[in-house]
Amino acid sequence: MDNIFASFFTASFIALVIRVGTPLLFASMSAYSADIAGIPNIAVEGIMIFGALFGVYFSAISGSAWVGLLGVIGVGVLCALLIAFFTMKMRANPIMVGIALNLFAADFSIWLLLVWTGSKGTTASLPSKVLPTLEIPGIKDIPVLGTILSGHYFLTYVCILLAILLAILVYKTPFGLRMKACGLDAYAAQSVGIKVNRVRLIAIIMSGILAALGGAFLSMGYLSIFSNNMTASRGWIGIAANAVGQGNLLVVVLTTVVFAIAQGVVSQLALTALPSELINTIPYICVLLGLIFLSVKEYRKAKAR
Amino acid sequence: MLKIENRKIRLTDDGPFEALRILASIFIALCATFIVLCLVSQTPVDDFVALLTLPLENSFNFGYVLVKMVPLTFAGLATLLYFRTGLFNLSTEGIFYICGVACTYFAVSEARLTGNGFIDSAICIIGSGLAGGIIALLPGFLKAKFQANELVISLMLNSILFGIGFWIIKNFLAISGVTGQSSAPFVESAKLSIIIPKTQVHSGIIIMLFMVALVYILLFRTKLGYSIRMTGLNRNFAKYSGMSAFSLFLTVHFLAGFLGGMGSAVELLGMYRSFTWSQLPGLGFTGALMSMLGKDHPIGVMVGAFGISYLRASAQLLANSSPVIDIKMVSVVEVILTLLISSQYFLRKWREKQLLKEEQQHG
Amino acid sequence: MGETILKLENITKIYPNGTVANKNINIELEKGEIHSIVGENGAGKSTLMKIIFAIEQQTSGKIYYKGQEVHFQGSMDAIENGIGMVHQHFMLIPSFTVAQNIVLGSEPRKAAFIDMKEAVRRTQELAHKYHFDIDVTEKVENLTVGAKQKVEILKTLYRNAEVIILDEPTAVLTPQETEALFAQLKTFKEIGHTIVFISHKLGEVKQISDRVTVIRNGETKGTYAAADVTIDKLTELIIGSKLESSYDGLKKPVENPQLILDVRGLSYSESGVSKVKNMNFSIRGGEILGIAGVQGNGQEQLIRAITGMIHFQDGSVKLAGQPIERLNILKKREAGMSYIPEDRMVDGCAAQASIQDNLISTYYRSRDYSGAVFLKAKAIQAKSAQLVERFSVKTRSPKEKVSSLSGGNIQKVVVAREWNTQPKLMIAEQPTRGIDVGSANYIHHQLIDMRNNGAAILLVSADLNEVMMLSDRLIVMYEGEIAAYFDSLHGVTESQLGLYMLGVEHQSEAEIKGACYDA
Repeated sequence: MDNIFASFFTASFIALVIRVGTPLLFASMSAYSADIAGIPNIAVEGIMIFGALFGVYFSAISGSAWVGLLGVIGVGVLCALLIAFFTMKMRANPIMVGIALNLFAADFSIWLLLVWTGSKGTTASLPSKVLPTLEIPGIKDIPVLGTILSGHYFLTYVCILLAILLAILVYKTPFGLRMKACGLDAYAAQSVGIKVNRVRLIAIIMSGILAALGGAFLSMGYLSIFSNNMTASRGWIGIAANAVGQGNLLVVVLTTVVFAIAQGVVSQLALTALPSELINTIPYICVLLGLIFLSVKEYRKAKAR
Repeated sequence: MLKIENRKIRLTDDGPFEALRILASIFIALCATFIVLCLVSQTPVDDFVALLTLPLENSFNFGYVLVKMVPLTFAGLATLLYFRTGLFNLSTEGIFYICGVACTYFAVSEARLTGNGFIDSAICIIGSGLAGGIIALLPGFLKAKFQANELVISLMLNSILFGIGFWIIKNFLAISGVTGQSSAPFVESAKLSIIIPKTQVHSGIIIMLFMVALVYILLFRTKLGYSIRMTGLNRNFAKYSGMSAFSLFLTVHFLAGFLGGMGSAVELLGMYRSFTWSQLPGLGFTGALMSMLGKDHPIGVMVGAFGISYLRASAQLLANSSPVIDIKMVSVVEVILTLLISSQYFLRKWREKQLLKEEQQHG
Repeated sequence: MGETILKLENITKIYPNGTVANKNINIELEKGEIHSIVGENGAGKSTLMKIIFAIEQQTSGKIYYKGQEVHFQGSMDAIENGIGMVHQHFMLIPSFTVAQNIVLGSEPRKAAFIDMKEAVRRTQELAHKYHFDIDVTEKVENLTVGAKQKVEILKTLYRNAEVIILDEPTAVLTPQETEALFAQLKTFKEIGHTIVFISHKLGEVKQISDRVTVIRNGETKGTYAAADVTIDKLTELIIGSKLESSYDGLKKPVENPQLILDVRGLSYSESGVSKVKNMNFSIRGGEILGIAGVQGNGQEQLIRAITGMIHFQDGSVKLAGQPIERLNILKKREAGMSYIPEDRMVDGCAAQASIQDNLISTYYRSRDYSGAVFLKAKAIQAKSAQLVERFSVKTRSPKEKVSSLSGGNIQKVVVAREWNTQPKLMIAEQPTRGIDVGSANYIHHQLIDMRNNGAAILLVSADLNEVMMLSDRLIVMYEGEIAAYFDSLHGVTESQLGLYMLGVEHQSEAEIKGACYDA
């Protein structure tokens, strides 16, 4: 037991947290960028599934991981357009649309798996490619820092870069101000000539791409195959992190880090004799507790008024 | 404002227009299915015809449709209660799983049963229902007291309930000495009997019909149903009128959990020899779809469950003979139906044009 | 006069539910005039403005702007062409600053980034130019209603609006603030702006406008020079009949009135900000106590505290001698309280439920309408049919959805429900806001009827005219306190009340004490 706890305070554990945290951060950013513009994306989980599946598929038929990645982005955009069309043009309830897409992604991906490989399990039989890992020259040889910062998957660095870009976009540009305006009061935004639907369309497309990249990370880096149920509610964890953050990107990111640490702990504990079924529930329990904590805080605040 | 006064029933009236929308949605969904088949199948026309007619070929096939609709209807009824109250709770998925475990707890041990078929089934079903109701009180309480986000909480709860349930099955309810992923076999007296010979149709379908009627009466004939509907349509209005959201939310969660638990037990005792779910069964989520397709109406839910089960059963029966047809393919129909039926603006342009035409005709 | 700047030709708008909001509307606006558009609420004024401002698209008809036919695709087009709009409900984002609100949509930039310094500089300059005294770095949520309206006007000026549409701008202002607004509008007119002034307050319309267009039932009933048309004539055009101007003749004295509502020391604060401060007042049966005040001076919180929609910190409330401050809403209603809420769509009804369902929500538990478990369908049907009939709610059947009704009829449904329990205390908050004159008149009669039958009525309204017409006694609220109390409305003038509403004057404690009856 002692060495398990000791393993939580090592550089390689931090590297592990960064690794398992990458898809979570993609998911939270996806939820955040849509939500802040006032069009909640509940389909993060489903888009991640499609991202993971099509990344494998496109890289297998093209023979190039980069083409696969382009395909993933395309799929993300396509899902986003679908959500945009039904919520904005057809005025469907965004939560309903999200639930429907999640179910569709879960089932249809298995069917595609069957059509492509003849089995419903994994894409192991497809010659898919993975995106490279990056060693950062100079840093990788520094003892502790090198282990933490260097040698991650390509998409991990992309994820961190996108988080910085997203912060700049939201807080420093006219478009960011307009996104927030659309989220806070769409009528007010519309009344000053902001094309609310266009702002939201762009936001949801960003959200779709981010979610799809999160999926691609799972099947084209973290693992090299797509398997049934591989996203394992990571999309929902992202949505939960966004809910805790309440429109503040920094809080969203920090919450995601906490969830990532929980996930990292699970990875470590999985090596022990503890029952894996119960260990696997730890991240979800953390999220649950996080949401309860937030709600109780809000409740107290409301009551104190 | 002017309101066009005309007593004649027209397609643009609320009721007929809704029916038209649903028919159009079904048509589009089936077209999409055909297109998907064309893309992957060598014999798309034959496959499509088979998909639509196979359940009608013999009583076994049709019976298969009927038993498939039972858990979907139960899950739909449970979710319907949430949606009607204005709660986006998807915990029926996890409730189905953990209540299956609860049902298994009773069903695998003769010591906990009496040997009488009717009473034993009732013990399992009611025990499972109570377990579901009590577990559902947890998100119910968080929602009622703290206004916690029930959607995300219910999804987290699903994963947690699955982990706990699977752990219990493996460690406590499996055949002793065997490390499998399934439970010990159910005691015969607990299982539901077949009511139509040469089919799989079990007595669970009668329980289902009974529950549909019960939920209908609950919603539209009782005080509780009235407060559910008003709260769902406008929570402020319900509060203003003096209804207590706190007790209502707890009640609704308990009832929905109970229905989910019952559905799970009925499915297991009617269709399985032992508990073999090594994944979340997906029935709870489909319940959300049923509720949407059925427009949150118990009879609509049952009809929707029949329609989806028809295609699912047909696809599953064809799966043995076809390399590409599978139950998962029906998700195309499900997603299109859900999206179109929940779209407020679907066919709206057409309706507007008709109304304009009438307006011009009448001056 | 001058050249035509904006011309509407045969504008028709039919909503998807079949409602015809506008029918062959024809209006010409001349450059540099103040043109009022008047009509009952629900006559189609707001829809028409939304069409001009391209928030809605007309079903048929043409719009000409500066001689050219235009098809604005969205508000952006309208704004770019020099049309600005000040909406009835402010289009401001509370958590943004004044400057952010003003520049939103046309932000000054530095490279790809927003240049907030420049935004502050420009908005400050604009405020100075038009003599608006406002701190542009303040968050909008901290501003008064009058200041928020100034921000709205600055928004249109920032975008170089030539035509400024004001949708019921005076609805939320005190008489003094209204005067200031009118002075401002006149200077705009002098520098060549065209003002479209939408209102149903005919006195104001006649005072401020050059020309007036009347809309009734979605159709134009003619355009008149304001100087040549009398208020009586306009009223006739708007509703087709004459309005009562006072209800004094209808009020009957009630014998031996009981003390019904007694509020002592009621205080309420929200996030540490005190909203209601130590309020003391009481009402007897057979009497209407009015509460006047500029919106946002604690009236809303006071009512929500008394009715139990929010929990207040200090004070006691007695209903016919029974303390009710700790009771839940249901128990308060059972004790004899009824409540017509401020916003009928938020609290007052479930729009997607049937009229029948909406008519019973506050008393369906009573023995007459339900047993232990089941509802008594027949009794409910009979009751709702009776209420629809008595309150002349215009509908095909009580099974129709409330959303299919007009605003006035929805309000009648709310009033009918609250009336039905024969309450000891009726709390009427903005009972006629945003509804047609006919329905408003009808609702006023119902309130007086209840008063004559011995109910105590607490009336809160932003419509000064309404409070003054109906009330027997009157309180003016300012910043959560009673600023003035009048035990009779005889000889009290609007401008006198205005001074108290604005906090310019404040009565002595002894005078205010009159609001309470001694127990």
